[in-house]
Amino acid sequence: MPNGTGKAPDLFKQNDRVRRFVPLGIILVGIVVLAGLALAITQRMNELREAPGDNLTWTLSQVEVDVLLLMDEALLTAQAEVQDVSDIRRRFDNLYSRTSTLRDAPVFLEMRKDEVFSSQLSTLERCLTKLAKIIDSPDAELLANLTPLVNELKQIREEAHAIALTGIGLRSQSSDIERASLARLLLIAALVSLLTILFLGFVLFVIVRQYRLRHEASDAVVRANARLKSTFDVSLDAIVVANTDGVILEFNEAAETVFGFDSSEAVGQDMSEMIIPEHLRAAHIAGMERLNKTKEPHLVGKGRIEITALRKSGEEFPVEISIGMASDHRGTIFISYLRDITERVAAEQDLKMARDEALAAEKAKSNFLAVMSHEMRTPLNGIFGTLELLGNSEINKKQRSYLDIAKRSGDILLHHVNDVLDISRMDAEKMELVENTFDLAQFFEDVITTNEATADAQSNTLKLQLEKMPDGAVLMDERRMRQVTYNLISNALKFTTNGTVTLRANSTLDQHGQLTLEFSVIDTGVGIHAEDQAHVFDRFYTQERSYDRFASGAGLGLAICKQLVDMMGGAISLQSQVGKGTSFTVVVPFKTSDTAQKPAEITEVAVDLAPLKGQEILLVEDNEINRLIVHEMLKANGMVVHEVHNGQEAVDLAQTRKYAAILMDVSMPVMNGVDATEIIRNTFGPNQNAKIIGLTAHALADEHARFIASGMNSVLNKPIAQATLLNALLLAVQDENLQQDAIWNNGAETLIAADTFDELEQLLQPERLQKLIADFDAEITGLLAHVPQLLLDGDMPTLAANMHKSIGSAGMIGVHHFQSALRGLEQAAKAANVESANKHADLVMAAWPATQSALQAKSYTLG
Amino acid sequence: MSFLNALCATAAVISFASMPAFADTLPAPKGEVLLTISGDLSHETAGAAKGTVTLDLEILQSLETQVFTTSTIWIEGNIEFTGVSLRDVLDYAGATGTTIEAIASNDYKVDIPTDTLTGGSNENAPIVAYFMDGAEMSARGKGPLWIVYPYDDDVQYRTEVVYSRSIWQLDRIVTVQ
Repeated sequence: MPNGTGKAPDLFKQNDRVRRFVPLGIILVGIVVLAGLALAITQRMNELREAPGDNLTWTLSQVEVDVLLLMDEALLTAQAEVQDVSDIRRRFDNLYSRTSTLRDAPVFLEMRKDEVFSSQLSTLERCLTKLAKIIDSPDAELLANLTPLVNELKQIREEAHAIALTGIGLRSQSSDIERASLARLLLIAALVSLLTILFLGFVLFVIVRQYRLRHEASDAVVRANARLKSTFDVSLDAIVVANTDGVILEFNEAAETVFGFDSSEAVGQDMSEMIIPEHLRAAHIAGMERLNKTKEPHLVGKGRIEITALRKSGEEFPVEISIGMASDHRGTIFISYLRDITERVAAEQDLKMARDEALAAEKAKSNFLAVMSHEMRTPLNGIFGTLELLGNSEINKKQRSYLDIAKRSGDILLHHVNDVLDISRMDAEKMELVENTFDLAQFFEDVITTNEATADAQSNTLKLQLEKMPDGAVLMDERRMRQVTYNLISNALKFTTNGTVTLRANSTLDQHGQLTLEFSVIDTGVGIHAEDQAHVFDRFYTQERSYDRFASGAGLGLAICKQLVDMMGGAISLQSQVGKGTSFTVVVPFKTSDTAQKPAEITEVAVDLAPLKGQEILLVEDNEINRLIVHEMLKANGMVVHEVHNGQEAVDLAQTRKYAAILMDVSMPVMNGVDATEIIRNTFGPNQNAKIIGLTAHALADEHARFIASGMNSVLNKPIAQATLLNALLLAVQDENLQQDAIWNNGAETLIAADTFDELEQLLQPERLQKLIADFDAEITGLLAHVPQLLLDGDMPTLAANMHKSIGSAGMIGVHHFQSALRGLEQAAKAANVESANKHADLVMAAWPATQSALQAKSYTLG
Repeated sequence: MSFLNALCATAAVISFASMPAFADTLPAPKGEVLLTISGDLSHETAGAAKGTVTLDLEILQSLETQVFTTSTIWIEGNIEFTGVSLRDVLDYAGATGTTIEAIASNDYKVDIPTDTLTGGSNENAPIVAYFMDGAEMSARGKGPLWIVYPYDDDVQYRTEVVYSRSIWQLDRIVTVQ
């Protein structure tokens, strides 16, 4: 509540109190005054009613009458000459009694205080006392003294008259005063009454006016309350009103429905015990306490919050709650609007589950594809191997043509499997571009040459139109470029019969120095329907309408092309008209390599396989077919093969017998090839330094690096071609026999592991890499310079330590063959085998010049 | 109060059972006659004027004595009055009138309806007092007889009418229909 409005109610309250008490005070004072007056008047009236005394004036005047009567009696007695004086005496007694009343009666007290009255009364009494002597004298004497008695009475009569007049005068005076006083009292009473009545009238007027105002206000409040009540009652959301002690004050119908409590059950109860789940109560109570203490709400006024609530049945359910704070006659209250969101949450969860399931299904599908494709390569390996063995055997011409068909079919199948694997890799974001330098013109010519046979098969003419081509070599991922170009051309050839497929290529240089290659594959084939054009790059999209019987494909080719081109930073587009033909255009940026390096000619070199004859080879392979094929290949070339089925068996056998080479499958039960290799390398035995060649279906570069790191000398991808296998073995055997020259001079690629070096190239600036190579060159040159002296000294530990240092450097830079030569020397030195050390030292010395020149060549190409 | 009246009347009848019921002759007073009752009476005193009943102090004292102390407006201080109930006096005389005229020796006269003699807060008020503070009252004072009310007992005895009926120097009563 803002400060400004906070003071208003207090002020109002104060005013209210003043307004309430002042009139009440006035009325009370009026009533008290009136009561006092009433009391005073009543007393006066009582005084009046009680008659302050006898009729005073009567008594006063009666004195004179009594005198006259006595005088009359005396005169009568004198004239009649009667002897009876009892009447005279009686009249005198009457007079005397009357006079003593004036003297004694309290009612004459006021008059007696008057000096005149008092002296007159004294005079009268004195006269009466004097007269009494005559009256009390014997009858005769009294009779004789009647005349003086009458004379005396004449004087007394004067006195009595005077005293009556004085008394009456005094009496009327005091009467006047009394009347005036009473009149004043009555007047005051009347005035006070009038004032009180007037004030009561005013108060009544105010009250009536207030009543009307209040009535109007209360009408408005009643109407507002009715509106609120109906809002409260018909609200679809549960509304729970509670005070700061957490006691429920109101509970609407929706709340009854949501929580299952009747309003009568809920109101007056502790909210936390009714509708808050037990595990949340402590937090709720703490929150209330904190709020009551700090007055800083955490939940109040924070909009919608999702929490858990409790039903009467004990069921917990999710609610969306919004809490407001207000003040009324009950103090601070909290108004909570709650919405049961059980269904919504359930729906959300269903939706989430459905999405997760869909994603899982999608992932399962792609995993399935990847695994299936992967698994297909093993049997394919078997097929290729068998076909190769078959080709080597004595078969007739017809059989050979069947064999060709089988080989081509196998190639297609392998192609599809590779496509799927490519897609899987792309999805797993494991695909990386590996750039190398090549000649673009040569590249396109090769593509055309290799597809000519296919073109001929459907009577198609294959044309190459090269426009401006870069002068030197370009730096691109040749393999992926070849994949894209092959795909497009074979696609074009597939959908064209008796037509022409043209490969047109051009390169441009824009003002920023950016080189762009644009090439199109244009056919005169069936074309693609407009509505299909948008989908041709989608995966598994096959064009039902234009597919002829001969065309086949999984619909992945173009999708892979698009993704590869995207990876290269380029774009692929198409133009097509049904019946006229289709044109796919690829635009990719590229860089040139300054040094025009012609790739090594892929030419069949007659290899002397003689060194392999009679060599003992350990074949570690769990798959029976693969084992058979490799076994057959090795046997056909005169080698002796020992077979084991897993890594553990290999480790065991390697302890007993020395092998020229170990062919180690990677994925095997019991113990895999990587673990087995590590154990063999780390265990002293005849094969600790043996050549270990990994066999794997894992085609990923980082996997290869892992295998090499485990101690394998090289890794061969399945399916294994016989030539590749023999080459690798020849290298291994010749390395062992110091007859490596022919193979080692085969080219830089053999000496430097492309994977490792490419990685370095990607990681480091060319200058840094050049420096690294130069440092390595210097390190080895220095190392080798000391070797003869150390051998001469027979200082094997130093030799081993020196070798060990450089093994790491060699591994890092990727000269694995040189590295294994170093490792051989290190092991020999460690074993303190001087003879072996000498042999290995020769090997290292012999290996270095080729490695060095290959590294220098690499360094040179880096510019 | 009529029941009480009846009771009192019965009591009176029982007390004077020996007396004649109608036109009985009452014994003549031996001392000075203090009060003479005339008018509608069912008794008369032997030797007195015809149709009158006379009472002396002795006769008055033979009636039930009433004593009370009260202040008055005529004499300063509280006074003990001794006398007999006026009603008893009238009963003694067999008065049958509805009103009595009480007359003083100075000829002051006042009417007292007989129905005012019962039903007051004091059953026996007013009384015909013959002693004031235990002594006879002189004729030169308020005596010898004075009809007094117990003024202090009740506000109804402090009215102008009651004061006017408080006749002193009483010597005659005349009952009238």
